[in-house]
Amino acid sequence: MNRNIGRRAYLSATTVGAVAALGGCMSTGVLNGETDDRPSLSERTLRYGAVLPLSGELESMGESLSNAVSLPDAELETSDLDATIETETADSETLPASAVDAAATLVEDGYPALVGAAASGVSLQMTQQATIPAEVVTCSPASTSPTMSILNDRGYSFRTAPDDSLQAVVAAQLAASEHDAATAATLYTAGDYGRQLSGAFSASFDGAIQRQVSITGERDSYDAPLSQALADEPDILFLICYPETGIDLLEEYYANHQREETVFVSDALQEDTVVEAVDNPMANVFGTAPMSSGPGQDAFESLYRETYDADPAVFTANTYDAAATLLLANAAAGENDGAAIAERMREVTDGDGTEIMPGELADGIELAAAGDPVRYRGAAGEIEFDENGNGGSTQYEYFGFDADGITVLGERSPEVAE
Amino acid sequence: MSNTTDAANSSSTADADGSSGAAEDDPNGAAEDDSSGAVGSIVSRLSSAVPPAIRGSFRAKFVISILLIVVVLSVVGGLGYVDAERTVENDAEDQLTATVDMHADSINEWMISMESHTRSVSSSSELSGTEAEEAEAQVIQEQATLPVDVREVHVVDTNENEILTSTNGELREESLSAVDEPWTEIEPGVDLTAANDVWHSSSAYQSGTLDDQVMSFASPVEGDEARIAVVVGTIEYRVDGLKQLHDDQETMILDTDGETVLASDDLGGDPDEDVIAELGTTRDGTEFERNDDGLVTAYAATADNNWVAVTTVPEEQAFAASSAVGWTVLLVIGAALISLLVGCYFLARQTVTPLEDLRNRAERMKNGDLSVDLRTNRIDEVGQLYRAFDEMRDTLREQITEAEQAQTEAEAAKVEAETAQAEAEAERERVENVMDELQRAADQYGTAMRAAAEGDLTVRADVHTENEQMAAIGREFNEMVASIDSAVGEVKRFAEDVRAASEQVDASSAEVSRASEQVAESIQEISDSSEQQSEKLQTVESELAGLSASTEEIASTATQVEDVAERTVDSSRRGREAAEGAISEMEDVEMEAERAVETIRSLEAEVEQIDELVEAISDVADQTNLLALNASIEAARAGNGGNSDGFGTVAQEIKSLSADAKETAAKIDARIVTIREKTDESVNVVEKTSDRVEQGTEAVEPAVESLTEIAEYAEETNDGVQEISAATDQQADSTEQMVTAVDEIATSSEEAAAEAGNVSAAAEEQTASLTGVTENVNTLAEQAAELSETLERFETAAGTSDGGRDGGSGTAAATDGGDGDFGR
Repeated sequence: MNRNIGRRAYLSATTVGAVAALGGCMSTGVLNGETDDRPSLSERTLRYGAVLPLSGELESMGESLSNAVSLPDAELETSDLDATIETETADSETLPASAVDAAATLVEDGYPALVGAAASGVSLQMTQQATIPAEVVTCSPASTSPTMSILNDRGYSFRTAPDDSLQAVVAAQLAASEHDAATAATLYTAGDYGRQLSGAFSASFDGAIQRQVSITGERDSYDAPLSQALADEPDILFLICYPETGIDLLEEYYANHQREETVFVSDALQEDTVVEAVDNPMANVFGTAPMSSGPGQDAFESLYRETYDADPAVFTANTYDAAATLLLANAAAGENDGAAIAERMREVTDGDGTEIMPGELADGIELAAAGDPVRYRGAAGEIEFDENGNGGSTQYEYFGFDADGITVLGERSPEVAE
Repeated sequence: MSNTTDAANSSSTADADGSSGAAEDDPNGAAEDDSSGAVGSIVSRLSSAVPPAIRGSFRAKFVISILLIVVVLSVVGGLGYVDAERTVENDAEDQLTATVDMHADSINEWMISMESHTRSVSSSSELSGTEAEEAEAQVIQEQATLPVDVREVHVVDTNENEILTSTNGELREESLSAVDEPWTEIEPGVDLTAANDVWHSSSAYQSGTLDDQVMSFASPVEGDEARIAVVVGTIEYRVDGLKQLHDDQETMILDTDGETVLASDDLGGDPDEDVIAELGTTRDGTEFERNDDGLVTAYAATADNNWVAVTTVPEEQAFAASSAVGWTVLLVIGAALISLLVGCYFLARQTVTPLEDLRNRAERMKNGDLSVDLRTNRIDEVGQLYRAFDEMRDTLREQITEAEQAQTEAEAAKVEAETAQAEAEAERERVENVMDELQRAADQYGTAMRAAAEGDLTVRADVHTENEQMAAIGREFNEMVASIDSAVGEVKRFAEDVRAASEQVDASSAEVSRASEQVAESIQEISDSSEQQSEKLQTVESELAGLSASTEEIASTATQVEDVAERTVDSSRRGREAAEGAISEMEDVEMEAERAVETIRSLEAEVEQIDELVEAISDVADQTNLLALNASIEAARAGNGGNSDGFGTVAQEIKSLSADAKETAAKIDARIVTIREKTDESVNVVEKTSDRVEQGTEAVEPAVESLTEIAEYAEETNDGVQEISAATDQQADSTEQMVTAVDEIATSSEEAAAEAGNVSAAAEEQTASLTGVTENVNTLAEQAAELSETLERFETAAGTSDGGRDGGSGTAAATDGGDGDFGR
């Protein structure tokens, strides 16, 4: 009978133990569920990739853009930031198919966000084929086509370059105000960029548009399109193309077609290589380009010069802005996840958070990672993405050419009448 | 369970009639007996069929009942297990079928959406008859606005058999024959008949930049029969988004011909073609199949194509949940059975075993063994039963013991009575002997006591007797006589001591008397010296009075000095006022002198003006002289003219006048110089006077200061004298106080002398008292001697044998008391 009592005691003890163990498991589970899932910065690796034109039509831009995209990484390496930064730049070859492949590879390697691409046609294919389906964020520093605005991007595509519809307005206004132009013709490289800008200019120009001539494919001579565009002696010839085409075209123009007209060029030809290559002072050539006039411009310029011992070129500030925004959004998201980063893109560039200038990214990342609000003040312009993911400067500079190079003649903001 | 009851009896009467069987009755039996009569009769009928071997053993009945319960539980549990497993299996089937149906719906939905995208592209007016470039811009924009499922958009020109434009730059202006894609084979009018028609590739194929599974869709461009809009869409995103229930679930889309439309992976087995054909034709419904090869297959038709979605899952995965549920049910049943068996085992041990044990012990008791151990720790019914048996056994044992005790006691009483009779006889004889002995001892004691009463305190009684009490009385008597003997001896010695002491006291009293007289003399001396002291103090007092007078004289002298000092102050004040008057007078003189200097100065200025006038006159005189000279020259020049003499005369006259004027001016000038000198002198004199006055003033000022100082000193002196006066007053007071003090001291000395006289008298009185004491002591000594003599009468062992045998009443009384004691 004593044995029996012992057994009862044993059974009750076992039951109590089992209940306690079960309770312990449950409470552990609950606790794990409740813990803050924001990892500490020292455990984090912030990753961003880039797809940039290191070769092909926009090769001349490649080096400065590539420098600019690596600049945040270089900047953070010298800081005492706890987090690890991983970045990789792939070549788009300025071709849609190559860009899609490059982006797909980066996506496969686990990059949740990419800077790129440069040309609008390339960016459009890259985003639609590779990054949007994979839910990877892209931020293009140089794709200015209005088509980017209508892209069905599910919120994954951003840009720090201004929409060309604005550049067209500025160019049309300058043609009238500075050159008294009453007639104009456009000559553009085929593709989304050229066609859209040409169309927008024609729509904005307060005068007669005689012709919009496109240049298709590789060719040896631009004689035909030039003749066609200049046939009715327009006051203004608006030339929209990338540098490689532009150089040949301008040489041909000076060799055989120059008359009294004024030539306008787009942002793509604001390149020292053009000045060096064309064997003419180009005194009758003027152009418009997005201006880097953001609050962080000075800080960016000195940082860039310090790091690369060179002057920043067109779209370099936009590229730095794109990479910096992706990093801050990544830190704020707390994970290398495209959807989470996309959600934070606007938050880190707008609002009342602690202001972060270029060169202060380490502070910004620490704050963002801790969940504090930050506001990145862009180098090219205030980012403040709109509903289509367009952000950055809407200031343009009006420049002219002479024997020494490119001279900035003034600044313009588009005065959109409608 | 009441199967022990007689088959003939109803269960309700079983307990009453049960005789030998009642002891074996199950405690539960009573409860069961309360159940309805109908059940009871059935049970009793059943019980008659049970063999007697079982009916006779509670243990056997218990075991058989438990086994019956186990069998019932197992059967019910088994049925539940089968049912539960079937239910879960059906659920799994339903779920799988629902999944594949969802896949079919999803694919169908995707097809519809892609067809709709294709229609929207083909209906765009920018594609109809436009240049390749405009069409290209259009397709790029269209693609941008479409979902990312749309991989490529092409526009095919069937007239030229080339691709007019495309979102893919590589395909622009390519010939159709150079491109190996299903949509290049489209024949307008065959594949696409109506303008709204949408063609799609018969199955998914690998294509695109990303080399994924796509399907192409085509529709004629609205308003341009030669052109076809082609939309290439990837189905991968849709397929990836579909939920797969199991790890090894494989899904594909097949058409009625058994051709694969879309497959992400190969199916696990071959699907049933008949089922596919049927579902593909009806375009509605689902099917579920369980193959022999351990694979389950689910089918679902798509609504708008003759396609069937087929999914295969290994059986063990599909029914993983059902087998888990089965195991759980089995486990529950098993656990229930095991716990039932274990519980019954312990229950049996708790009831059957102790019952058998109790039966065995009761039999031993029946056979007469009352030492059976019936103790238990249990407090339940079994325990109570044990205790009841135990109490019953104890009661039995007690009654037997009591009977045996009564018998023994009766026998013992008889023996005791006989012994008592013999003892009574012996006692009587002994008492007689004792009485004789007592008689003899009493006689002997009487002799001794009489001797003692006559004064012989050395006599002793003979205590050698058989009777212990009599011996004790003898011993006591001897001890009493011995103590009286020693007491009388002690008193004698004490009387001697008192006599000796009284003589000593007498001597001491004489000494004290002498000492007291000496004290009286000393005090007289003190008294004398006090009187001397008093006289000396009176001398001091008169001297102090003298001191007080001289102090008052000093005070009056100081008052006189004070008056002198005040007079000095007044004199010096008057001196100072006089001096200050002198100073102000001198200042007035100084001012007057300064005014005189100013007057003289203004006179000097006026003199200077006269001087200027004189100079002006002198100038006029000079010019007149010059004029006269010119006139004389003119006159000389005109000399020839005749009236030259007139001119010359006038000139001469003027010249002399000017010379006079000049001379006079010079004189005035000289006078003025003299006046000026005099004036300067006066100024000097006055200034000197002024200086002297100043000096005088300066000389008087120190006198004033000195007088002021004197006044201050006089006042200070006055203050000092007043302080002295105050001090002497204080001193006088102190002297007075001192005099008073000395008076008091003198009085005290006199009082001391008087007191000393008193003390002396007291000492004398003391001496007289001591004499009285001495006399008293002498009386005491005499009385002690008398006592000593009285005691000489007793003969004691220590003292001499003189002192006769008369008296001694105390001793006689003690003997009387002793007789009283023996009178019994």
